[in-house]
This record gives sequence, structure tokens and C-alpha cells, in this order.
Amino acid sequence: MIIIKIALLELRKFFYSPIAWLLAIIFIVQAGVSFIDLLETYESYLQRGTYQITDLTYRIFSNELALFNNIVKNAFIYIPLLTMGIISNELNTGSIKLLFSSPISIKQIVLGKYLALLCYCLMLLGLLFLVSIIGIYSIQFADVGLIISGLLGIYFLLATYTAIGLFISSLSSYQVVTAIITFGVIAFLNIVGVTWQETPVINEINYWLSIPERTEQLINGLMTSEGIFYFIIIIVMFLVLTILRLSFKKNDKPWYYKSSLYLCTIVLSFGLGHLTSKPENKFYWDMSRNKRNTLSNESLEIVKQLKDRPLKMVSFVNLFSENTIISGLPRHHNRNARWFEKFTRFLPQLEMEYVYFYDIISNANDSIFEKYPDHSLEEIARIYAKSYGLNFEDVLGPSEIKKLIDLSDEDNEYVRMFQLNNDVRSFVRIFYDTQHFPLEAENAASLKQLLGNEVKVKFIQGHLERGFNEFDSGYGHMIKGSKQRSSLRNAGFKFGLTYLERDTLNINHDILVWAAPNDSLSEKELNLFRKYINDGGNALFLIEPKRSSQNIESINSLLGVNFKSKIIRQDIKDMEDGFVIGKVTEAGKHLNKNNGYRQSPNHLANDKELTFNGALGLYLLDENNFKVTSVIETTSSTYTIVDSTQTPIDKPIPLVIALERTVNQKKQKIMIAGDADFLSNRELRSRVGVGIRMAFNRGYIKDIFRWLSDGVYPIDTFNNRLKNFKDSDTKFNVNSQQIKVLNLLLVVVIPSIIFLIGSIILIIRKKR
Amino acid sequence: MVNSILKVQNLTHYYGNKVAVNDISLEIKSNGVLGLLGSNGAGKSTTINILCGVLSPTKGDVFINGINIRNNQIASKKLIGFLPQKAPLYFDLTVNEYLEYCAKIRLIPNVKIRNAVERVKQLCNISHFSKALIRSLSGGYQQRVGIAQAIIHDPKLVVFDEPTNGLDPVQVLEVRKLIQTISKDRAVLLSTHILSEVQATCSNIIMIEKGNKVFSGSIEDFNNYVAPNTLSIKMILPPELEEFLLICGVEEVDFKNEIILVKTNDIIKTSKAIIERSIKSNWGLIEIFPLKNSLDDVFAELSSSIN
Repeated sequence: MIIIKIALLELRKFFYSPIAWLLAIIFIVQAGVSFIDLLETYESYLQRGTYQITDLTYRIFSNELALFNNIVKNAFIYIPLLTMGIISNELNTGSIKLLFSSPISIKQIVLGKYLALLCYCLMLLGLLFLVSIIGIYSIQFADVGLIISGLLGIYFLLATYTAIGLFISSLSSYQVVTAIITFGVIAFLNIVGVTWQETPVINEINYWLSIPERTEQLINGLMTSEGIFYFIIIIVMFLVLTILRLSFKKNDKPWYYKSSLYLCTIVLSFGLGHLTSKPENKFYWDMSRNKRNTLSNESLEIVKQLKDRPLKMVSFVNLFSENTIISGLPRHHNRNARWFEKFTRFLPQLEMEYVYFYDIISNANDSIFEKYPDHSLEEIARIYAKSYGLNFEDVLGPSEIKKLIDLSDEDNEYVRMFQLNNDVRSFVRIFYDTQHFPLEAENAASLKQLLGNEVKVKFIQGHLERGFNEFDSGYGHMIKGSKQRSSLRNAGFKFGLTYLERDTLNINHDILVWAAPNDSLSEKELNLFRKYINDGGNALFLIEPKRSSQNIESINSLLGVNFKSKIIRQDIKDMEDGFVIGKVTEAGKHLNKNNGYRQSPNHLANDKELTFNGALGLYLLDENNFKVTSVIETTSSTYTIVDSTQTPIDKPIPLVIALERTVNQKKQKIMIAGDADFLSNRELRSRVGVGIRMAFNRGYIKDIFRWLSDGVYPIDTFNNRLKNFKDSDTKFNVNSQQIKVLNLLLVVVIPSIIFLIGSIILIIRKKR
Repeated sequence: MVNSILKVQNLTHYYGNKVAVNDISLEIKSNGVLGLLGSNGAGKSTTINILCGVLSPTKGDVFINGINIRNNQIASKKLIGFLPQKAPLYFDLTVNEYLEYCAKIRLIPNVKIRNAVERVKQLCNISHFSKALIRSLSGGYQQRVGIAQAIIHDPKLVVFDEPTNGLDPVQVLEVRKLIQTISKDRAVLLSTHILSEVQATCSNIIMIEKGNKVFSGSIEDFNNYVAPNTLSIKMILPPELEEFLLICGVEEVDFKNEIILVKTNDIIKTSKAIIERSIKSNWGLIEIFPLKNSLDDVFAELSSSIN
């Protein structure tokens, strides 16, 4: 084949000049330094053992600062240097005439040269493969699929860059000019995704053209048909442009003829790109071992039920949501779509809409009037709309948005809404944290709500019980902090206050919370509550030591059990009297064994301290058919524990217990906590990362409510990825000494070998 | 009917609106060297690039051995060897590597490549540089390598575009000799703007100027293209200028040392008259002959005719 012969000559020309050798040396040194640096960093972490580190393969090869992305960041330097002369030089020396006057076609010339470039890139990839092999050997249970996908991504990137370089090399006989233009075009493809994003059609084209996300996807282990087609289309487009360019060199045509052919090629490529990027035409292949790019099994179950049903995602963007609005602006629509691709991959029918409006955000927007004292709300909104580049005609006013939807529960903040069959709706929020967008857990929970899986946490009221409105003692933080990603509201729960005499209870959807009542329930209330319990309803009892006897009496009468409590004191340095520290028990760790939720060894609350501001030890004397599990206990090892009678006790005392029985074939779940404060705002707010002790109470909330809701919420987006946790990449096979040897190998030995081979070849040839 | 080796019909080429070659036809029927003569920018290179398939013509047809290059590029290009003005060399390769590559892209079967390379190396006298980098060769030898690649596939027609450009006098002679050797077995089209090159190597000439063909014929025809009009005379006792002017037909007289150049409108009558007067007046005539037009004169004449 003549193409191969041309390619072989080109390769010879590469290796008979110093450029190929120098590039290879720089490439391997750079990859080596970056790889060893990461290896040393994590090995040193593991040596100290401070943190449990998972996903070592991802951390060393794939994440933003890791090896592959490092290569990607520098590829734009190597490639233009490689391609600048490939045609340009032939134009300059006139040797192109040898090719033109030979019985071969221009197509063969171009393909031959491109094949040579591909082979050279394959050699660079070979060097990277060598580093990868060392990585696979160094990391215990390395994720090979992830590495292979990353290598593939880098190869596609190099192949695309070289196709661009090849075309540009045919444009000028000045090599430096072609190198500079190639830099320019590659830079353009790297930034085009964020340009002109407000303009329809052009935003689609530009976003499609953008190269970084494509490579990133592959580096993260996700292969998509769209991404692969993108690379192939761009490569073929530039090859065709090169062939056209050389043909016109030989066969001069009027400018309009030439430009229309160039244009046709480009338009055709974009058309193909459009076809292949339609959601219904896309295929995905997650190459990472623990399917890190794919929805978890529980989320998959949810999207399976939504398949082919009319589904919409509407973003209601309030101009005054200053902290979050950026992602809602038109220039981010494409990016949002890609962010949500994890779901749209399975829900290609999903439509995304944006509604812009302005309205006062409760408790947050008073300051805008301070800034604009003489302006009406509409006038201020006009200023805001202009600053965001929005057309004010497209922005709904407060009365218009109210006709459309009631967002008062969402404080009028920028929020997203899923809508199924045009009637069922659920919200998902944008957060103030760094990740900003709802993640899989929040999205999946919201989607699950569409399917009618309602779980309502009801706080009993009427006797000065705690609810979610009290500033310190209430549970607002845990329940409804809508800006708080981890709150139960964002995990899928509904919540409300309830009066036993007024409201009807539903044993299948409700979780009753009875927190620190101030006096006893009326007979009627007690009967209603008892009926709920006897029918098998789930409940959480939070007892405050100060009124313990009264509370315990009620609970005993409700559940038909007999349990006693003792106030506990621990002698803890620097902490107020009554402060108690507990830990999750082994049984507590496996509270959700049946529904599989979060049993990972590095669970946030495992083996960590949970704080109780005054606590009761709970002892069950008559269990009334309940299976009783102590889930949080005191730890006796470090502290002296005494009960109210000041008797030292040297074994762990249950602080939170879980009761379980079957009623009418329904699993009934009751939890009793010896301190109403341990989930309160005060405890969650004040002790996390502040002051003397780190408390991990927050880490156990979701376990409790997952159990109480029979595994409905929160969505488990985690557990199925860690089935083989023991076989995951959390350790190295190499120690720091061996890493030093590897360093020597990658940064000194291999580059020297390449240098030697190169010099020997070049010197021998020169001497002849 | 035997096909001509090269037949060019009404070849026209435009660069944008500018005409570079205008309606040129030519034909090569047998081996030997055809000189394509013209001053710089006359359209020689354009013509040659078209013949060799480097450029497609705006109008007109080129047949190589009866094959139209427009319709069958691959087949026609197998029959042509081409040495462009700048030899198309890859300087980082050795002579062998380069020639082997040229053989490959000229589609010579693999088994014949070695022989072909050896043959042309011998012919061009570069065998002893087989393993040398082309970069390290002198200009003359680089040109020989260029010539070698042009004939490696044994083409029927070889086209040389100003092959002696930039060579020293010794190298020029050698290259000319080489071209004559090559032309024994195949047709050669040699483009040049140097007249002595044409005189030294060509049997036939085509001259183009500003894209138009201004002359086509044998070298003799070319030499005699413009009739001679000057007599060169040597005398022991030459007369005064005025006396010459009285002789029949004399238009102008020029004394250059011992030689008197006499321009006339009738060379025969005037010579006869001068000889007769010389004997009569005892001028001591020792030499008289018509001065042939030099090629340069013809060249200038033809060139100016188009202006």
C-alpha cells in the first residue's frame, strides 16, 4: 500500500531528525515527574494513615490534577512542533513536486502523512502506557479500565491535534507560521465551549466543538458514542480540508468555488456532529471498575420507572438569587445539560426549560432596597437583568410567576422542578456550596418523589414539643435547611408539624417525631397515638433528661414496653457538666443491613465521637415483642461514667436504641434517643469542626432516617459501588524506597536510553 | 499509428486573471533533447508543471504516449520523470534511502527497486555516495541525485527544469553530458533561459515568451532565423569611411581596430562590389565574410517581437 510507504518515509524523516527524539524525551520526563509526584504524595498520606484514601487509581491518573490531565494540558505544545513541517517543509523545499508528479493521489499523500503522525503519537502513548503499567503494578487493585479509557482519551486528543496540525501545515511554507496558527486553533477549540453561549445555534455549535469535556469524559472512564464520533468527525474534517487545500494548490479554482467546498466540508461535519449528539442517538460505556460515571443501582431503579414518560426539568431562575444565578444564565445552559447527562443518558426524553423571574427572596433581599432606596422592585430587576445580559421582556414579574407556580416554600430562590406527565411535580435545589448543583442523591430523591414515594416526617405539636422552628433546640437544620445539601428535605423527605387530634396519620408514609414534650398528652391524643403505634407506624422519640420520667411513662404506655432511664455523667475535660460522648455501635453501623445503605468502612460517623448535651442511659426491662438494638452507646474506655446515683459504671450504656417488630406484615420501626439535643440545631451547628471537639452527629442522621423510612430515602448512591470494597484501590504495592527507584527509572533511565538511541542513530548517519 | 511521446494541444493556463501560458501546442515524436527556451517568467515552469501533473491547466490537453493526463493521471505520470527547478530532495535521507523511496512512490515493484536504484546511481555516477546524507553532498551531486530520481522508473519522457541553475562551470558540463546520455534512450524536455545550454544539448527548440510560442524548429533553423546583414572585412590599406558608404547597398560602417563591420541591405551585391573595388583601388583585402547572427541576437529579436 502506497499510504504505508509514504507513512514509513515520514516516520524515517521524523526519526532521522532530532525533533522526534527530543519530544519523546520531554514527554516521558514530564509524565514521569508528574506521576512520581502523585505517587509520593499519596504514599506519604498512607504512611501516616491520617486519612482513609480511596480511588487511588482515579487520584493518580484521572482527577483534575492527576497524570492524564497534566498530559492534556501540555499536549498543545508538542503537537504543533511535530506537525509544523510535515507539509509546510515540502512546500518550502519544493519536494511536494516530487509527490505531485508521482503516480499517487493527493488523498494517498495526506493519509500517508497522517498515518505517520498517528504512529508517532502511538509511540508517545506507548511511553505513557509504560507509566501506566508501572501505575497498575504500584497500586493494589488498580482500576485498569479507568486507565485504558484515559489512555484512549489522550490518544484521541493527540490524533485530533495532529489532524489540525497537518491541515495548517499545508497552509503556509513558513513552519513557524504554521506552528503558531496550530497553537491558535487548538487554543480556540479549548475555549470555544464558553464563547457565544447566549446566542442560539452558535452556542450549540461552539459547545459541540469544545474539546476539553470530550477528553475529560474519557479520562474519567466514560466512553460515549458522541465523544468518539466527535473526535472522528473533527479528524476526518481536517483531513478532507487538507486534501482540498493541496488539490487547489494543484488545480487552481476561483475563490468562491474553493470557499464553498471548504464550507461544505465544515457544515457537513457539524451536521454529522449534531446527529451524533442527539440524546436518543447516544451510547455510553462506563469503563471504570466501580462504574463511577453511571448512576447507582437505586437511582437506576428510579429512572427505569420514568423511562419514556413525559418528563421536564424547569429551572426557575430568580434574578435576585445572587449566590446561585450564574449557573442559570443562558451561557451555562449547555454546561448544565452536560452536568445532568448522567440522568439524561437514561432519560433522553427529558426536556430542559428555563423560566426567568424576579421576586423578593425571603429574609435575604432586604439589602437590595438599601442599595437602591429610590427604585421600585421592577426598576431594580431591570438593572439586574441588564447586568446578566438578559432581555427584561423575557423576565416574569412577581405576579406573573405566582400565576405560574408557588415558590414560597422555596423562599423564591432559584430552584429546579421536575414535572412528570405535566402534573406531578417535585423540587430540587441549587446549593450555596462549592459543588453548587444538585448531585445524584438529590436529583434521584426528587425524581423518586415524582413516582409517589412520599415519606413525611411529622413533628407532634400541642404540648410545647420541639419542632423545626426553634432556633437552638429545634430540628430545622437537620430537616429543612434547603441551602444545606445534607438536610433531609433535600434527601427526599417531606416534613410538617402535626396535631394528633386534628390530623390523620398514615402508617405507610409518616414518621412521627415526638421531641421533648413539656406535659402529658390528653387521653384522646394518647389513644390516637397508640392506634398509630399499634397499627405499625414508625416513630422517633427524643427524650430530654429534665422531664424524663414523664416522657418515659408516656412512651411505656404507648409502646407497651417497660424501660427505665438513668442520667449519665461523664468526666470530660473542658466540657460543661452533663456533656456525654457516644459512639455508634457495631449493630448501629449495620442498622440498614437489610436495605444496604452505606456500610462502607469509611462512613462519616463510624468510630467517631457523637455528642450529647445531657443524656439518659436507656434500659429496656419488658420488650413487648420488640427486637431491641442499641445503636449509640457511651464509651467507657476513656471516661468515668456515673449514673444519677453517682455509681461508677464500667460498661457501655445505650444512649439511642432501635426497636423493631412486625405488625400486620409491616415492619415497625421505633427509635428512642436519650437526648433530644443530639440532633438539634445547636448540636449540629456548634460542634462540627468548631471548638474543642469534632462531633459527627450529622453523619448518622441519614442512617437513622433511612431506617425509619424503610429504605425509601435518602437514595443510596454509594453502596453498590463498594461491593468489593476490600478489592478497591486503597493501598500501594510499593514503598517510598521503591518509588525512588521508579523515579530514577522514569525520569533518568528511560529518557537517557531514548537520548542514547537517538544520538547514536543521528551521529552514525552524519558520519557517513 | 504510433503515439507521440508528448503531445500538447492548445495549452492555456491562467493564474487568476493573468495568463501564464497562452495556447501552446507542441509535440515530441522521438528521443533526443527538446529545448524549451524562454526568458525568466516566460511561462516555461508553468508549462512544465502542467506536463508533469503538478498543475492542472485551465484549458488544453496534454497526452503522454497517447494518454490524456487529465483523465488518467496515474497512468500518464508513470511515463514521466521530472526534475523541478529546485531538486525535490529530502536532505536528512541517504542517497539510497531517497532513491528507494522515489522508486516506491513511482510504483516500481519491490523486487525491481534495488536494480533500478543501482542502475540510476551508476548512470548518474553517484554510486560511491550511496550511504551519504544528501545534505552532505555538493550542489552538483545533489543535482545528480535529482536527475537520478527523475529516471528511476525508466520513463518515456524526462522533464528537466533549468537543471544547471546554480552549478559551477565544471558541474554544468557534467550535467549536460549526463542529460545527453539520458536522451539516447528517451525523450528529454529541457527548459532553460541559457542559450549556450540549448546549443550544447538540444536538437530542437521551442521558444516561448510571455506565454506564447514564438519559435519552434531545429537548432539550425533557429540559428538562421534572422538573415545575416553584416560583412566582416580585414584590409591592409582600408579607405576612408566615406568611400565605403558610396559602395552599392552599404548602410552603415563601423571601424573596430582592424576589422571593419559593414551593414548592408543586400549581402551578395555588396560583397561583390567591395571585392571589385578593393582590387581596383589596391586596398589589400585579406578577409571578407558575412557575419552570422548570434543566438543572443535571435533571442533578443524573438523576445522583442512579442513586445
